[in-house]
Formats: sequence, structure tokens, C-alpha cells
Amino acid sequence: MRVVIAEDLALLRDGLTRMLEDNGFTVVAGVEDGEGLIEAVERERPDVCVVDVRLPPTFRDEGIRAALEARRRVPGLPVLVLSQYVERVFAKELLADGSGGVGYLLKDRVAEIGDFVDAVRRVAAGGTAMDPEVVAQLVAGRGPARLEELTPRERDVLGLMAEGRSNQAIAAKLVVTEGAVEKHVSNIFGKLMLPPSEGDHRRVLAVLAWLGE
Amino acid sequence: MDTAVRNDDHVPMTSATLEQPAAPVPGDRGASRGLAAQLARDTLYLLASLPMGVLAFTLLVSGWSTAISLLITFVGIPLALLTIAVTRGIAWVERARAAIVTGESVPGRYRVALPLRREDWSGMRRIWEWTKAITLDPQTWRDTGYELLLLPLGIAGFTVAVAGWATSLALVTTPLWWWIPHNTRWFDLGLFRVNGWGAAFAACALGLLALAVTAALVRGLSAASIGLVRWTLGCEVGELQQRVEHLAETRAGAVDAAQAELERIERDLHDGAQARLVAVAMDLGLAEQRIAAGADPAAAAGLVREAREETQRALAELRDIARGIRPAMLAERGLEPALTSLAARVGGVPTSVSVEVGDRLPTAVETAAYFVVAEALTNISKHSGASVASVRLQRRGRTLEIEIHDDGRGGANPNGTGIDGLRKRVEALDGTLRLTSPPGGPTDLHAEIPCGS
Repeated sequence: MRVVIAEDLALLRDGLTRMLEDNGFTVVAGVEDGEGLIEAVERERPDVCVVDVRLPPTFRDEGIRAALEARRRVPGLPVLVLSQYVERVFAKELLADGSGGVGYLLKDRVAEIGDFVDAVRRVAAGGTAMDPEVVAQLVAGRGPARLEELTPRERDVLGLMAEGRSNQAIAAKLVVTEGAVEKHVSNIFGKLMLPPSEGDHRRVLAVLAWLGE
Repeated sequence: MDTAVRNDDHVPMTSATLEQPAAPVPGDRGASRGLAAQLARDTLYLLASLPMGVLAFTLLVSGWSTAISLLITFVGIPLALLTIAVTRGIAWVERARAAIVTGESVPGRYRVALPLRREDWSGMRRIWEWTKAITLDPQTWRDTGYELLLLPLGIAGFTVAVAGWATSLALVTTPLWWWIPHNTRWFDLGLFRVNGWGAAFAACALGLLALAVTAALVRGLSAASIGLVRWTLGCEVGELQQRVEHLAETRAGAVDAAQAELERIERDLHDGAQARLVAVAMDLGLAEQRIAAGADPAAAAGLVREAREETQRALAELRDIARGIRPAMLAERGLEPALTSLAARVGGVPTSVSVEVGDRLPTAVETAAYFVVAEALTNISKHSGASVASVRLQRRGRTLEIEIHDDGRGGANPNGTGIDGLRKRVEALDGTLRLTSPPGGPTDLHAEIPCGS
């Protein structure tokens, strides 16, 4: 699987490269800024990009803007954005076009190598990877109105689903059967009055869209 | 501006309340009693102006003539300073007198405080600087002008008050004198003769008129004198306005400097320690993965070692950032040890450090002083090419003075960003900072920071 990394600090760029190559990815380009990212994406057409939010020259949200521009030029390009802190505004911007293949994670998550690599693969496959912090912010922003109708267990499932995890992964995390997870999911959709959707990705997008409303 | 502008209110607050009646009497009686009390104050004020005028005129004229004639022997300089001190003392009394009459204090303001403590009299150069600054203080000359005017004013006021009240009283009480047995046939009042009850009562009526005229004159003269006191001895609105503008400017500078400082710290953390810790986490994660997969332990050990080294770098960076906010040595031990250790750490140019500040100073003052010295020493070691440098901190009364000298090639930009940041920092504390660095050197940095009582 071919990856482009956009990260201005050489230390982290090298670390990410080593980690991804150790896990069977091929890093085809490591760039320092947004312009470099767009160039590399158009040249290499990678399977996925890993982008730091904060890039030169402004060191604010260059990474988000570069990622959105790259997705505009190469539609459906999977992008995983890394950030020192998370902002739900950025998450909403990434999710705004309604297609999958986006991720938004705290930089800290790279330490959980298994989880991180899994997130990169999920995004590359057109799925979603939202940081639990982002999901928590989205849930908090949504307010308690409808969420109160959910049982604590259903809320756990909602959170994990919003992070972009499959039924199988949710079942493993909560130590229940996949059947039980499916039942929770259909309850959640019923209570939140969301149209039932097929497939993990579209389901996640529906949940995130509802949370981000 | 060369010297610190300092608020120097010489009027004690108690004087403003001395003449307030304990319980005001309601109604017309109260008003007339208030008027009588006011006239009594005005009269006493005018009467006292004469001796004050004589005193001021004598002291000032003799003081200045002696000082000027001795100026060539340098004995004149301390004499001139002494005369100025006397001038200020009289001005202080005059402000207090005006405050007693009106019940409102008259704030006085000098740019330069008089060197009243013994440690201020250190060396001719110091005295010369004081003399120059005090001589240039416009308030010195306003005081002098007023005090010379006080003699003619005092003579006029005294004459009007004494003659006015005496004449009026004599006229008003004429019927009384006429009634008391007397052995003359008439009283000669100059304008006319009183030779019967009719004339006596006419004189009385004239006396009432004179009383009113005297009251108006006394009131008017006193008010005019006090107006003059306010105008010459009080501080001007314009000057206060200037001061407000200066304060607003320095405050904005302080806010900018603080904001820039915070941004720098945030950048340092983000690009430094935070990034290093992420890298450490990544290395350790990879090592864990490799060990779990049963890979070569040597490869995993390499990753762990790299992680450990990265942690040490992160710690060093965090320490530097903390030091950039407030050096531990300064917080724990104070200025002298902190500056001595700083001079040793910067290195490059042998630097002598002398700190005579007595007790600990306010935290903000110490921190500002520390960073002024730190920036200056860094510049000296980087750019000056100096062979020797000196740092001297001294507390003079309520001011901390910082003098940094090097014998390098000079030519430092007095408005460079580093110096500008320091200046903002010092001005935020109401201090001043001056850099002189002619091409070819030497370079002198002089800062003064007020440090409370």
C-alpha cells in the first residue's frame, strides 16, 4: 500500500516512515508542506495520505486546507489527518463532502501502533477513523436531547461506531457477540430516527452527520 | 525621555480636611457662618502670605546669588541644589496653605525627585546628572517664579486685609464710640467729621458698605492667589494627558510583548518537547511490536535506546523553556546568584558582575532585570567582539539601576527587535532603557526600573 506523508518536523516524518514501512506500507513521498503534498499526490496517486494539521508557512490549519484541496483534485483520495489537539470544526470540514476515506486522529495515537496502522488501512479502504476525542466533542456539541434515550451500552456502541469501527471490532472491544452489536446498532438508528443504511462506512457517515448537525 | 516621570504628590491628604466643620448647621445661619469662616480663612491666608513672601524672597535671592557666584568653584552646585530644595519646601507649604483654604489638595509633580538620601550623593558625576535633570525640570522654575511673586502679592494682600477690616470695623462701630462718654466735640474721620448721632449712623452705614467691599476684596484676592498656586505649582492637565498616553502606550507594548512571548513558548513546545515525546511513543510502540513478533532483540534495543535519548532531549528542552519563563536560580536565590551563574553560562567574554540591591525586589522587577542582563550578555558574546564586559546593578532609593558595559566594536542597533522587546518589558514596569553604541564602541546599556518602596 502506497503512502504520502506530509509532516514538517523531520523527526516525526522519519518516525512515521519507519513505522509504516515496518508494517508493510510503502512510503512513496515524505513532504514538508501543503504545496508539496498536492504535488506528490498528483504525481504519485497514493492509496492514502497521512497529513499533519500544522504545516508551514502559517502553522495553523494548513494541513486541513491542503488535504481538502488534494481531495478536490484527486476525488476520493483517502486522507488521514494528524493533530496535536483536535477541533470538531476540522472534523466537520473533512467530513463535509459526505464521501468516506477520511480520518482525524490525535498525534498521540501513533504510539498504539496496531490501532494506528488499522486506522490507516481503514481510511485507505474508504472508511473513517475519528479520534475518540473528536467523537466526544461531537457528542458534547450535539447536546443531551436525543442521546438521553440511549442506554449506556448503546452510547458506547455509538461512540465506537462514530470512530469508524466495524461491528466486528466493536464486538471485540466490548466483549460481546456481533449479533448483540447489530441489535444495539439498529436500536440506536431507531431511537435517533436515522434511515437504516447498509455497510459500515455509510453507517458511520450517517452517525457522524447526525452528530455534527 | 531621559528620566523617569514620577508622580510626586507633596500635599498630605490630612490638610484637605482640616477646616471641614464637624456638623454643618442647616439653613441661613449655617450659610452665613460658613461665609464668616471662609472670610476668616481667606484673611489668615492673606496675612500669612506676607511673611511667607518675605521668607521666600530672602532665601531664594540670597541662595541663588551665592550659588551662582560660587558656581565656578563647584561649591555652587550643591548650593544650587540646596536652594532648589528650599524652593520645593516652600512650594510644599504653599500648596498645603491653599489646600486648607479650599479644602481641595493641589497635586504637585516633579520629573526628578530630589536626592535626599545619603547614598544618592555618590560622586561628582552623579551630582552633576541630578543637577542637570532637576534644573531642566520645568516645575523647578514655575516654583521659583511663584515664590518670587509671593512677596508683592503678600504685601498687597496683607495691606488690603489689615486696612480693609480695620477701617470697616471702625466705621461700623462709630455710634458706639459716640455713645461712650468722650471729651471731644467731634471725631475726625478724614472724609467727614462726626459731630452728632446722624453723622455717627451715616458712618455706620458707610462702614457696612466698606465691610462688604472688604469681604469681596479679601475673597477675590485669596481666590486669585490660590488660582495662581494651582496654575504655577499644580500639575497641568496637558502633562497628565501626556502621562496617560505614555501609560496606554507602554501597556499596549507590554501586552504585545507578553503575547509574542506566549506564542514563542507554544511554538517551542510544539516543535520541541511535544514532537520528541510523540517520536518516543512511536519508537517504543515499534519496539513493543518487534519484541511481540519475536524479532531480533538487538533491533528492538536500538529503538528503545533512541527513545531514551529522545526523552533526554525533550527534558533538556523543557528545562530551557522553563528557564525562559523564569530561571529557577532567580526564583530560589535572587538576582546576584542568578546573574553570576548566567554570566558564567553565557561565556565567551569575561564579565564582572556587581549586584548591590539589598533585599529581594518585586518578582516582576527581578525577572525584567534578569532578562535585560541575559539579552545584553548574549548580544555581547555573539556580536560585540569585546574582550571584557561588566554588569552593575544598584538600588538607589526607589529605583533599580542596571548598567551593562562592554569594550567591543559597538554599532548595535538601539531599535533592534531584541532591544525593543526588553524596552517594552522595562517600560511595562514604568522604567526606562537606553542603549548607546557608537560604531567602534564601547557599548553601554542603561536601564532604570522603579521598584516600590
